[in-house]
Amino acid sequence: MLKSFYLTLNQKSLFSIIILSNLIFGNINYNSTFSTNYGEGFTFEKNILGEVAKKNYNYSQILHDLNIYGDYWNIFLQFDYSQPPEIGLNSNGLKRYNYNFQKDKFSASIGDIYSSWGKGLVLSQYNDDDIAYDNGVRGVKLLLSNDKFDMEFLSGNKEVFTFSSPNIASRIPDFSTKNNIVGFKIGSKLNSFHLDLMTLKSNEKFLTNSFNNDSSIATNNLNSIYVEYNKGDLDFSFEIARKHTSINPSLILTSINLETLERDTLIRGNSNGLGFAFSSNYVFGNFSTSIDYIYYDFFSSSPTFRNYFPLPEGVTQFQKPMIINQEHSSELLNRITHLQDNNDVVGLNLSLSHIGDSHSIKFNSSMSSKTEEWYRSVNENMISSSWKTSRNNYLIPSVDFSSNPYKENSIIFENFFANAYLNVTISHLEEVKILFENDKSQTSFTKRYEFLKALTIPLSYEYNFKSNYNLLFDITYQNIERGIKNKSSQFGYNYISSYADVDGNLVDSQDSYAIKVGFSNASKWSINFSIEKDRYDEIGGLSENVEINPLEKFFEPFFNTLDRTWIALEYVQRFDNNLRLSIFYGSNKGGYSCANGVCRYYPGFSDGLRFQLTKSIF
Amino acid sequence: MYRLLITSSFILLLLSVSFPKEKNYRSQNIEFDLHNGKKINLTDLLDEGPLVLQFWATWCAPCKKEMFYLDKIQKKFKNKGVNVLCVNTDKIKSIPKAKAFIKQKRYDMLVALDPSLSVYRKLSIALMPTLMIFDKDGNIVFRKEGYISGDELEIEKNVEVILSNS
Repeated sequence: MLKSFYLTLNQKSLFSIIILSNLIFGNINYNSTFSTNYGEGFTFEKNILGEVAKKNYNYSQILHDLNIYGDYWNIFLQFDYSQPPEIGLNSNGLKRYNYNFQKDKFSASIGDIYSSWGKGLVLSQYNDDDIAYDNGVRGVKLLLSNDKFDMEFLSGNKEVFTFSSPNIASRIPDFSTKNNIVGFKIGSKLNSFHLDLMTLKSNEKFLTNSFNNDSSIATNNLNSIYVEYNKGDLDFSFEIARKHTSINPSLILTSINLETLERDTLIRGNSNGLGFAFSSNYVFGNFSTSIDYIYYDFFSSSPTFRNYFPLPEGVTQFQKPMIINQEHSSELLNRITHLQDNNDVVGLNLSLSHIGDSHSIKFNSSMSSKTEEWYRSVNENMISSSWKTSRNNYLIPSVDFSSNPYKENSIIFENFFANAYLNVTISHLEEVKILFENDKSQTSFTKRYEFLKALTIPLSYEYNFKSNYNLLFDITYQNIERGIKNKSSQFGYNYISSYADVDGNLVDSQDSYAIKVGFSNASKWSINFSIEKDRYDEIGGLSENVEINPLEKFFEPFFNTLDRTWIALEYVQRFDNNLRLSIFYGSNKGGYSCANGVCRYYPGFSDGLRFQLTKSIF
Repeated sequence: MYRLLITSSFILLLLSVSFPKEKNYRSQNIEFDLHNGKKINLTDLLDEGPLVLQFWATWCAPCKKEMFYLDKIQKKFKNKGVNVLCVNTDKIKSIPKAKAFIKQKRYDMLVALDPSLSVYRKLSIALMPTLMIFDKDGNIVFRKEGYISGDELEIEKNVEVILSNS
């Protein structure tokens, strides 16, 4: 693999070097960043027989961003040589480009176009290489603006690659849709107000199943209004959007009730949806408050139907609307980030902060649920019906388990001392992740759902010595209850936890610890040593440390067991202000990680080496 | 592995020795969308004096730590024409959280929003936080990636050097 990587590097990167060399001696301005990412190690996974299989986990990537400037124009080129990247598709050459011309109040762009409108209910485009996601279109964008008005037109095509489920351990996206869009926005400013009217049409071609090449096209028409007010200590903004989807040819869904042998046929041809998002901030004295509210009913569906894939009636690849749930920096909190369903959610977020000269404290409360509560009725022969709604169109999030409620309360305290820094967060999260059953009859009931409850306390302390040296200490404690809850009139209450002790006995909750100790010299280097440890096994996960790496061997005397323990060392060196090297050695737990509202499963990384070298030229 | 390192090192060496030329960004059409709905141009900012430009996101803890010190730098050098501008790179879905953070902290420095990463790409940013200092003529005289406690002293020192040379 390295040999091919080396050959690729020498053949293809010559192009970049030639361009750069010309620029060095030319009169055109430019800036550039060159980064190398390399990693090798192993992952260990259990097969269906419970045997541990060892797999290589390698990646190598060279990324080169180049910007060339003239008086009124700018060319952006991004070269990517990756075989493979850590996540995503292989690339071997020019990956993204854009030519932009701007003079006075007019701007035109050709190439890879990214634009974001309002609160993202119609259009929000970005590329995020960490999750291998890119919904920018290759096309054209025209912009005309002055102090009072602005107009934007864009059009282009894009094949968007995604993962069909966050549970997929693969590093390569397994699903794609071919899209073309055309959109127009007109905006007006009046004193402290800003008003935007937006319309966008997208055609999305997708495969209807995984066993042949049958495809269908979903045509989406989106229209929205965005209003923003911003003056002094108060700001607010909101967006209302309507969406109509037509699917051609229609999808036909047939299901058979195994108890009654009745056939149910659903024709999926047209659907309508709407969304509303509001947010506001207000400052008074040393206090400030924030309120965020969302109501998205783009496509609400029963607990059975919402798991179907693909779901073309749902939000498009270009809709990435405002979220209500909290996102944290701590790794253990990040791992349990709530994943908002933008098709069907009502949510509210309230926060209150107090800030002093060197400290701040913030209380934050978030809650959300589906826009409907669901149940199935059971007849006298104990046969359940299809899903029905018991309550809908409520404007405040429901707390009933059948609407998948989520709530998180957190307190964040931060203080900058003369030579130190302290940050403490306390987060309490509860959510119903999956609803399996909510069956009711006049005399009995059965409730079954997957539940998550977590208390997480990250603490970060940093002390700065006067000689420019710093000591960093981070510790996070997390207690998680996760499992399936069963409640029935016949069998009472039963909880099947996702965690077990070494003897295989189920335990109610998991205790996890993450500790990081760092030492650094400002502007020059830093070294961080990190340990993550779980108290119990995760059912279905890999708990035993099947390969103890030399770093773990060194620390073995300090632990009773190295099972459920992940140890790593990271060193960062800044050679000058434009050259940075990062080296990581050790193991990572893996598991869910979330970025930009997308969560996916990362395999654990054992006995691994990663390095990243970044050079900037400006 | 050896060949990879040798090749990477060679390219980096080539790049390191080949770029003594200073580039002037004053004439570039770089426009920032401020969080309060206003727009400001790089040239307008440079007309007032040197500019400290930082890229951050709400999920980036070191970025937010650095911003505490950048605001102190803004307060200290404001009357000498220095502007500090922090460019938020959160996606649209998280912009309300970024705006709430800015309001809650009551910064004196300027904060802009760049959800589609257009300024981010124009300046070839690869990591967060990235900070650069422009002198009044539009040359980038200092740039660094990442934040280690104590970096703020070097940033302040560079601002003082620029002011003393102007």
